[in-house]
Amino acid sequence: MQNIIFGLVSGSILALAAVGFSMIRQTEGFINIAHGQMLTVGAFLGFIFVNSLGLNVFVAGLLAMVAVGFLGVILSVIVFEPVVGNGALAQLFTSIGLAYVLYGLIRVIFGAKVQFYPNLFGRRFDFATFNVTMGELVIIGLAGLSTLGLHLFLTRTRLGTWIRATASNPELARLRGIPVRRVSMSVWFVASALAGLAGVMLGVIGNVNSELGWSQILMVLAAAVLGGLGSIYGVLASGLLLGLVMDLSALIIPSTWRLVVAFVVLVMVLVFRPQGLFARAERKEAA
Amino acid sequence: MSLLEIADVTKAFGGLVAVREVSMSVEEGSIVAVIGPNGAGKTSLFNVVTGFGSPTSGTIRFDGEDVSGLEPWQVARRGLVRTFQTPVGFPALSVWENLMVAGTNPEAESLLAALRRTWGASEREVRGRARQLLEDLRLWDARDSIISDLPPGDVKLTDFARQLMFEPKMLLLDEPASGVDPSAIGRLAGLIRQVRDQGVTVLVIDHNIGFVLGIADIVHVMALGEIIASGTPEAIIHDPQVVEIYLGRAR
Amino acid sequence: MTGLLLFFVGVLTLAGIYAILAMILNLEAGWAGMWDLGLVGSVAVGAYTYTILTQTKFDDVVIHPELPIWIGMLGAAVAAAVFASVIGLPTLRVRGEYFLITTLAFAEVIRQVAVNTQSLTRGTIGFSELARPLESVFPGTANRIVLLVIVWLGVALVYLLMRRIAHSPYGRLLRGFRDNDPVARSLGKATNHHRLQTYVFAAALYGLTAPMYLWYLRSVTPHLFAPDITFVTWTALVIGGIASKRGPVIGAVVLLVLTESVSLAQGSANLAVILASMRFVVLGLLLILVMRFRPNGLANERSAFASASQRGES
Repeated sequence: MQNIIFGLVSGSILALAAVGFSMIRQTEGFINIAHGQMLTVGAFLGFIFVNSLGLNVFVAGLLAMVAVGFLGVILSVIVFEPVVGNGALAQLFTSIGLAYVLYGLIRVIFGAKVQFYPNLFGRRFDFATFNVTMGELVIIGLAGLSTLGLHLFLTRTRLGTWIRATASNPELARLRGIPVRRVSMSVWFVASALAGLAGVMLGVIGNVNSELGWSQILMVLAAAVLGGLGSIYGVLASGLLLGLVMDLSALIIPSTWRLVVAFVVLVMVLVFRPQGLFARAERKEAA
Repeated sequence: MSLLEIADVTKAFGGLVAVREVSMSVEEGSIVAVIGPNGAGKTSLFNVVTGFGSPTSGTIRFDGEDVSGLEPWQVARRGLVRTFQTPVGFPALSVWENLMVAGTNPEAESLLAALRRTWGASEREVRGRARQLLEDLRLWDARDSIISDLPPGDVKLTDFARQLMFEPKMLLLDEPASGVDPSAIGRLAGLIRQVRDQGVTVLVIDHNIGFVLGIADIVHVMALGEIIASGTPEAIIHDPQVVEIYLGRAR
Repeated sequence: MTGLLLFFVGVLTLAGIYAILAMILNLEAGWAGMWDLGLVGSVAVGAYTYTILTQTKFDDVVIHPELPIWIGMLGAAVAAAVFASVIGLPTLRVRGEYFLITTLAFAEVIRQVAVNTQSLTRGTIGFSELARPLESVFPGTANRIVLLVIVWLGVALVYLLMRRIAHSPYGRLLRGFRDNDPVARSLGKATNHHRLQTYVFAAALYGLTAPMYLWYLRSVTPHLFAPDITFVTWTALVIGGIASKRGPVIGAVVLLVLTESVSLAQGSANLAVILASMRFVVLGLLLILVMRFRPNGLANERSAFASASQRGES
């Protein structure tokens, strides 16, 4: 039971991070390695807001989210837009370059120290066989709320509908006169903001350090592939599932193997179900 | 003797049946055409015959051997070679290299041969053939151009030349006339006949009816995954069913 | 002054090692079209195999046969190749981005295994004070220059090997099916076989390169095998020009000289941390700028393979 709680927490965070990654992959058409660093930026911003400015953690989280969202939009315009015509390889490596720039800058500004958020949610609920902290409950709740919010945004607003249309068929969306640039910018904002939120959450339950982004991007990639790169809901589900699998596996094997478990699951899925766990459409063989 | 024997071949994608119980045979040394509107299942049939996806049911025999379900490269090594609708070939290689790749055998292009540099004899032999073919097709001056720099007509010719370099027993041409300048269609038809006269059996799919009827010995008409008529070009033009379903609509 | 000289000897040694890695990656990714983001996995397998076979300092490891260096290198190549054939079979079934992610994941699995199998790898502590070749003949500072020479001999050898491959029918076939697999298969080419063969061959070469990296560092820990090596190698390759012949070497030297020179500026310990971090910023900026203004890199495939029809014509 305790492991289920842990799994739900890390799964929720992973799902938030992965869904943004997947939105960018779909509408912009490339794998954004720098997405992981957006989590680190979010975690550090939240930490500063709470620790140095003494803000309430919810306010800090919201501010960090918005700030990372805008950072994403700015970076997309100055870094990614100019290389759109240079092909997928150029975009991928631009994102790796950006990841290194962000990583280096974070280390220059914050150093390589591991830092901790103050204990914000002191209350702990003890049950017969497990316990859960207030912080964990808040994270699960917030992740659920954000997912619901994202769902409503994607299905109930015109912009959301455009985003979904662009995600499922960018070519067609362009032809149908959907304002591509506006869609692109809002995707960058939403995706980065979710990454920022996930970063703050990671900081709250664990710690804040400059390596956060690199370790998370691997998990995000795994979750995104598991869900079938294309499907937004598939990725949400697989993020949650991956978190659960990793923390439940700790019951059987030492928890230091959790990343290995995640990747073994990933490789098995790729081999036996290359279109992902939740994607319906078959990937066509190129011929 | 029939070189290619297609018996009751069906190809379904999920619930969608692209090819339904198609049977046909291609006599050695003939030019056979399959015509039909877009979506009739011509390319699906081609794919199944050449190993790009195995048939849902039915068998394909080539040169007396069952080839259904083999890998594309296995089918090709038995002498059955196809072209593709978009003739890009190997875009980063020159015309010359495109032909050389096609003409080289597996031993000469293995990693081991590269390390031991034992590919010299093979290269000399292939080089001679490539030169001959390029001169025949008037591509010699373009030999060092990268495919992605060539005008579309030359790309199409290179495509043709590359597949011929493989020295197939039978060539499957997927829409050879599409995108070809109308004035060059006659030359293309001449080339295909010339290839046949050198002993290569040809199966061609196209929807340019004039072009197809001009070169084929036998024509099969496909619609909605099935063969609805077969015969000589003369018979096909006058088949009332064909006129109604296909030619009628075209006019 | 000798400090500065030694500094550059070190930078050039490292640049040589990355030049070798980038040339191998160029074979795998530039010519055969396999975008491998897990090359560090093969380096790690090679490095651990070499260390376990040859090290003489630690006897708390389950096996320590203390074999000569050359057997260690051979073992590194073989082990990396064996791993690659096991990994390659499932991995090569997937294409494009899926291949990229799977290889990245496999490399990370290998690193995690190294962390967790303490009895074999000494876990996060790893091995230190590893021996260098010819250390008894050229002790101390002279040995660093010996290492530089050995590494650049390696660069020359691998360059000649790659040139041999580039102009062979095998290299030509790789560059062909890289862009159009169906056409290659329709010409009787067993492309999956060639891919696996190339993948395994590249892994063996990565494994063989790993000992040189260890001679340079003198230690092995799992931390070394984070994706950084992979990304730096890729950066060197794309800066130099993917699919060209000289590009990987040019790219590695330019990249390493630029990033390592950052640490030339000396100062307080605090400054040292900042400078170390600035290396990543320089690396990233370089990558972004090259992708933006010269996406094909400094050298390119077109000029490397111009007028193939004249070659060997006699």
